[in-house]
Amino acid sequence: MNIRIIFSILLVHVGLQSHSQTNMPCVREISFEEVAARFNTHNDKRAPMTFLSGFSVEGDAKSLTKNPMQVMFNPIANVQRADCELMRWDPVTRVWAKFSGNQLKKSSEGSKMFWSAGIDQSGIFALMKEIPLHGETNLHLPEGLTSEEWRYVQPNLGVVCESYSHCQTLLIPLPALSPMAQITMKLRKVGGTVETISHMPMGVLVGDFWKKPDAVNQTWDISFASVK
Amino acid sequence: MKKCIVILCVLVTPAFAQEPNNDGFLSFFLRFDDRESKLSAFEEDKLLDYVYDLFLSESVIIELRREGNSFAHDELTAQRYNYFSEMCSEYQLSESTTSIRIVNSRFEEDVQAHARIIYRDPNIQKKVARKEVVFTHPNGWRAQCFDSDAAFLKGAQVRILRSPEELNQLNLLTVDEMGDRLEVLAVVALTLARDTVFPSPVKFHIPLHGMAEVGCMEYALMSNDEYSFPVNGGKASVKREDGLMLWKLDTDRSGVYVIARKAPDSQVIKFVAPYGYAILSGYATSSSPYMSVKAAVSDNQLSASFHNMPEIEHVTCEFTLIDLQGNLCTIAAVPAKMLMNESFLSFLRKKDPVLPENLVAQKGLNH
Repeated sequence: MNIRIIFSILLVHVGLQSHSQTNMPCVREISFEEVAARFNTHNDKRAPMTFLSGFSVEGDAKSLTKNPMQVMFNPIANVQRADCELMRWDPVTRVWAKFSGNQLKKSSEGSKMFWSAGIDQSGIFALMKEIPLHGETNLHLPEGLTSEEWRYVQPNLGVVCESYSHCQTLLIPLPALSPMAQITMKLRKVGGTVETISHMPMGVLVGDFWKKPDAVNQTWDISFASVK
Repeated sequence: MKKCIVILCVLVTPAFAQEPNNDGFLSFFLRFDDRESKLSAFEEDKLLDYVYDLFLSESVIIELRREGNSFAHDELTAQRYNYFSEMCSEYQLSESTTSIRIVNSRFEEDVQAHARIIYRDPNIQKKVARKEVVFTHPNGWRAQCFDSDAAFLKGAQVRILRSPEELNQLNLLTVDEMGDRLEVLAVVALTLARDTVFPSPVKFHIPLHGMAEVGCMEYALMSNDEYSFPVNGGKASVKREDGLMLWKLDTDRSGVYVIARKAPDSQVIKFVAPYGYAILSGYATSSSPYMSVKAAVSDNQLSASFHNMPEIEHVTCEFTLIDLQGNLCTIAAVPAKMLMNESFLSFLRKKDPVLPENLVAQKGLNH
């Protein structure tokens, strides 16, 4: 999703001052692929959210506090502004947390409408939308295997879930899983070695998806028989 | 008189307007000191308070009172006359709209005054009668507008799109912002030459041949990722007038307008993905009335539903599927009824055991 970063007039004014040039914050867009590789889409209650757009801001803290910048997003089709929240990545707890001023406002530039929010601190930010359907799906590993960590990526929903707990049943906090979603797992054979399965389509591991396409909150058995 | 810079202040000084006469004229009075040919500083300030209004007025009359019949009085009057002449040139009061008259009698409203300045209230709007005409284009549409605007309509184009093929080319999704399905009766594209915007809306009367009298909504098309409609369109109707079905539109600029109504049907058609495939997207179209809607693909990509559908007899579907190896498959223009009766996979295999002829395969994972 495209985002447009427009600095407040004040910041531009300050930026014109010769010594302030070095204080201009650096803004970089973050794609879903990057979120899938490095982050997740959990909120502070560990519930998955839909990632819509993201960016990182690096700059002088004092300067940003004094001269907040305005971030403008293109409205997203079929998504209400009120349903979206701008969230900040907490690298310690590995969740996206709310911050003051994260509500999106309507703004315009000429005749074009945007959603905007004020940013007065550095960090990694993402525009997220809550998933209305709640539930969980269990993936049961074959006997003799435990998962040390896993990462579930479902691009059509903009969701990335992860867990670092040792378990034989993976609990994915979504009511239904897509066969095209990919999972990466670090598996340990009981008393044996660790093996990593990367970016495996769920449809390969769980062939029963097509038998019950409307199933929700189901427990599925993972089978490695079809994995080459 | 040299205080030119003061005029800047005058521009923002509100005029202390007198009560206007019935004819919209205002007036104020000035006094010269005894035997003086220049106004005192106080009187000059007073004059400056009005200068901006005088500048804007279309008609200014300066009446200068002659105090006696002696040569001395004549000379003094002449000097005072020159004073006002200079004032007019200094403040750029137009000679064509400003006149200086010499009067012999005192002014009734202020008997001590030596001069009276009468001017038309610049706040009174000029009333201009504008002639309305009905412009008829050779292609049959009419426009009710002012005479001066008619010339801009000669290069205007009105295109009426009604056939399913034409509507298909628009990539038009016939749902409003709430996802309710619409039945599109016609799309009218109005293009004014050189992006003209009229000062006031022009009433267009556009004939829609072959369309029945119908109450409907008029939507101005919004361009987004795909064309979509605002929920609250304007009320429109197609009515018989002069033996023709006319659609009336008031607008001042180019635009694409859709005459549509909410679809009354409430049937749901659901499709399930074949084994080994996930659904990326789906579209359903029908020709009469024209409809093109996007499928609601479930989160798990295993089913796709079309809501508020008409009877499926005339509905065709298009789906983009993806297999577990990341190959994209497009099934185009398949009658919905055929897909309802058998699974996707059997449909695909029946056509061709390897790749069906209407299946386009493309490498690469592309969500």
